[in-house]
Amino acid sequence: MKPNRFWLFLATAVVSLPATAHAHAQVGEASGFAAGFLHPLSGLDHIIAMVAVGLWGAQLGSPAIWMLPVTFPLVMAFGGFLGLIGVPLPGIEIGIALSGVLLGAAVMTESRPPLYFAAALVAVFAICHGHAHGAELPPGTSGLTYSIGFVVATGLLHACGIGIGTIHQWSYGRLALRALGGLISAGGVFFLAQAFA
Amino acid sequence: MTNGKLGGRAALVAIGVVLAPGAAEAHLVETGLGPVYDGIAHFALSPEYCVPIVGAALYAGLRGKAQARSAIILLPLTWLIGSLFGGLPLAPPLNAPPWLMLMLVGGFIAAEVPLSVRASSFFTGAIGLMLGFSSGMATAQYGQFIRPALGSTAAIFVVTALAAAFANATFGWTRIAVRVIGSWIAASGMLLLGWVLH
Repeated sequence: MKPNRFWLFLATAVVSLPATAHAHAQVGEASGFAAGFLHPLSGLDHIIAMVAVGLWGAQLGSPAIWMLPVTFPLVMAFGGFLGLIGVPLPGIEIGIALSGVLLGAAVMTESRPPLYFAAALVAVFAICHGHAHGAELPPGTSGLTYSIGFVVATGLLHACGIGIGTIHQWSYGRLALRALGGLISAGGVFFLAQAFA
Repeated sequence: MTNGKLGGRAALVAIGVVLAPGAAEAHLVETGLGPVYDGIAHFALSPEYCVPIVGAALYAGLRGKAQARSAIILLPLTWLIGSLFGGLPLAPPLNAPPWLMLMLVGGFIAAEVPLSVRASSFFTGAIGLMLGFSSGMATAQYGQFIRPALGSTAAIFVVTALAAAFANATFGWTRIAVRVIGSWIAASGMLLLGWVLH
């Protein structure tokens, strides 16, 4: 090799030297949020129960309309926490299906129990839903963004329920809401049959 | 070999060395717009920093005008002080656990804990100091921390002012919305704790 070509080759080699790449230091940030956001939307049994909580809150009015969406994510997260650390809870699928049956029935019958009873009922079901989600968390995503996405999606499902529930102020709206409660309850019965199958 | 030829070859290699790529540390603080914008991006794209900061500002706004005014000054100031100390070479490796920050801030908002102006100022100041310290440590690993700290401090001033003003708005629904957001923040923290222990 001629000396000039040798130096040119050497210079080109130096330019092309790859340095250590530390790209993607924050792994799984975006995918974590997307996975967390989509997780509560991935099962119809979860969706109908979350929407039913919002519908029932709208029917019950203040303070239930805001107290239920404030307490549900916290209790659900506690259920998720139990699922994540591996605390077993038997009959979770039955509890999730029952949440659809009973919350739908509450909307259908315009049931108005004392606030503490409604909150306790919703809390029990929130633990079931949270535990199921916590036990199914996918590996390889950012825990923080997954958690945020998961909670935001759940909260938005409640907000959808509350938004739909505002039709309660009209007489035909009340009827439509009760019919929707019946549909949710029927869906819950279907999932309950599946849970026992 | 003549001196001219030798000099030309040495220059060729020197140019090669100069143009050699450095270590690629993308996706943390390097936006290509300079260190000030890197600091802003680092804050905005790191939920472990921006969510508790927004939460602390919301809490201050929820508690009243005096707390909100205090937070607008204290949060950026303590963040800056924390960032500068966190970037020092001999800074102890202290790191505020994100789950704790989220549960603390979210719980305070959801329950609307009735702190006095002084206690609320201490709370927001402590949050700013701890998170700023963590952020300073993170940005210092990439060579510089003073200008990124100034950028993130400016962003925090704006975010704090907006969030506190929103939470302090006189519309009835904003208070409910802020408390719901607080419960979401606390719930995220609890799930994150489970994730950490998983």
